[in-house]
Amino acid sequence: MTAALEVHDLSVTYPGRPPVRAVRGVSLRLAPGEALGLVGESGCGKSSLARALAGLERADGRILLGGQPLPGPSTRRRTREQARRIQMVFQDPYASLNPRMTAMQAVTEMLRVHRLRPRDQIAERAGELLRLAGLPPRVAAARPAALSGGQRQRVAIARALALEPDVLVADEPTTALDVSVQAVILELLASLRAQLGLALLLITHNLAVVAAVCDRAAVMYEGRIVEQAAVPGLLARPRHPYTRRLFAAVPRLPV
Amino acid sequence: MSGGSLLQVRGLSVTMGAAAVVADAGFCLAAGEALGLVGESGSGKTTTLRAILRLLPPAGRITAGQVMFGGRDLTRLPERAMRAVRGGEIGVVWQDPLAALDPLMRVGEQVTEVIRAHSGRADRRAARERALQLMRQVELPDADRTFRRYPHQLSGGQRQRVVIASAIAAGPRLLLADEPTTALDVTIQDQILGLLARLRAELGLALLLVTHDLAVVAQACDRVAVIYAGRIVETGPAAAVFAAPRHHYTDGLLRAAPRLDRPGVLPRGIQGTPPAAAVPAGCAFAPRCPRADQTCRSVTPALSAGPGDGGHLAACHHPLQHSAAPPAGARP
Repeated sequence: MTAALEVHDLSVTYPGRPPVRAVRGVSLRLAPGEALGLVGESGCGKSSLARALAGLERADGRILLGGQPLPGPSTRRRTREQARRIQMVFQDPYASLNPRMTAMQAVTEMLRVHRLRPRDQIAERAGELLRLAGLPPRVAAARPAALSGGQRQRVAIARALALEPDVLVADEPTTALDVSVQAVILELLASLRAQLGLALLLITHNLAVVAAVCDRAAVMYEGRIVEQAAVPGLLARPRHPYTRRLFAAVPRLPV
Repeated sequence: MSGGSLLQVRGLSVTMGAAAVVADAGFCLAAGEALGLVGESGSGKTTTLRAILRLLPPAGRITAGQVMFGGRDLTRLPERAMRAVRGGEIGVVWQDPLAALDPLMRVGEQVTEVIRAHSGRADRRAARERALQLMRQVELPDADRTFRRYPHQLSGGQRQRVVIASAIAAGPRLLLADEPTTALDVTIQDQILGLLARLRAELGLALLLVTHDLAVVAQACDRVAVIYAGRIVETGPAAAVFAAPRHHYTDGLLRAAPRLDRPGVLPRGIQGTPPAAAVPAGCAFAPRCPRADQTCRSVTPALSAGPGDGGHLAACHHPLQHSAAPPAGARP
């Protein structure tokens, strides 16, 4: 089966003296509809990798979307169609949403700019997307400041879904949220994946989040993937010492 | 219990403008003990901590209650005396160490300042020596070099260690920590919680830890108080509360936590959002509660003991029963 996303020997290097090699030759494969957790601590390179995938960062290596190589290295060279097929959700929706746009406007903007629907169907489709993201109709007219953290993240998700991507890259989407809200957003991501057949790359520092949502996990340390395995196996037998450290760091509730 | 209490909060009520954000909250903390105050954003947990320190925002008022600490009611203490308590007898660790530190001052100097401010006229050299010692005690690497660094040159975990060094500088008996690890990733969180545990043991510190994460409480605290819409809805020994939660809100929080020991099991969110203020009558959780009935909507439940007791109290008209209890979250 053709992978939804394939990454070969991807590197991201920031200029400096010495240069910072944030991502060092990473290879990943994400099957259609699969959820892969990319887990590691702050500074391990996981967000640089995500940004490179979204075309927001210069990178060396190859990225294939649905078997088609993306032109490197920056997003400017991607066609609108290529850019559409991989979408991102960030940790802080407050920073990624325009404070002056209502939830409805944030979603219609995406539909309009990418000309995904005839003009007269845009409003209806935007309403549908907000519903799909679990937002009640009364929220459509609200601006980010009037929304809760969880609702903002839902708007960001609805925006990403507007483009009907094949791959959703979510970078710490629940880290800024309460545990109770985190659970609701994780439920949403899981149900979107099931309903839409989205492939999900979920980036987090918390192995417990990966355990809940993902089929496979890739553990990243100092710019490299040090272990990659199906989640149950990884949790039962973490092989790399760093994976064992991450595993031990997760605070636990009594059994 | 009051005899052995280091901190005793009784009937504390706080308003923010017209809204009652803390209502009749009470709990106590024995010397050397760690209590986790747990709730969602907007539950009143941070306001409670700020009320204890009398650091409420301008619209905030303590309208009732007492905060007994060292034989005095802090709500009635003159501001001057209160300044000596803050950062003196009570150390404070905030969520965002970057906001707690002065960006233009070397971190070692900041710790030194705290020592000088709370020890009267300690000379600068002695204070610096003591600051270095504290920085080693909180396991900052290469304390001599770190001393001369500015906050932006440190990692998030290192900054929080500097804040903790300042918090213990004046030899407090009580540490208040507001989401001290929420901005950190789990690896660093684990180290900071480990550090707090070690300092507690070494210095005999009591800890009031405010957090939204029950798993953090499980790791760091002896007892837990769950706060919802400004009221304590369940409290008791952490082990007892986690093994057999009696309030449906506590149960909901437990089910919301993703768990390493249950791969493939989606955590379950609590539908709805908490109310912005305490409700005048009835249980504030009723609109989100699977078990709520007419009584819950009209009569405010009081904190009361269950069959087992052991200091485990819940404010619920229909508490969860755990006779042959399966573990929380394991039920369908």
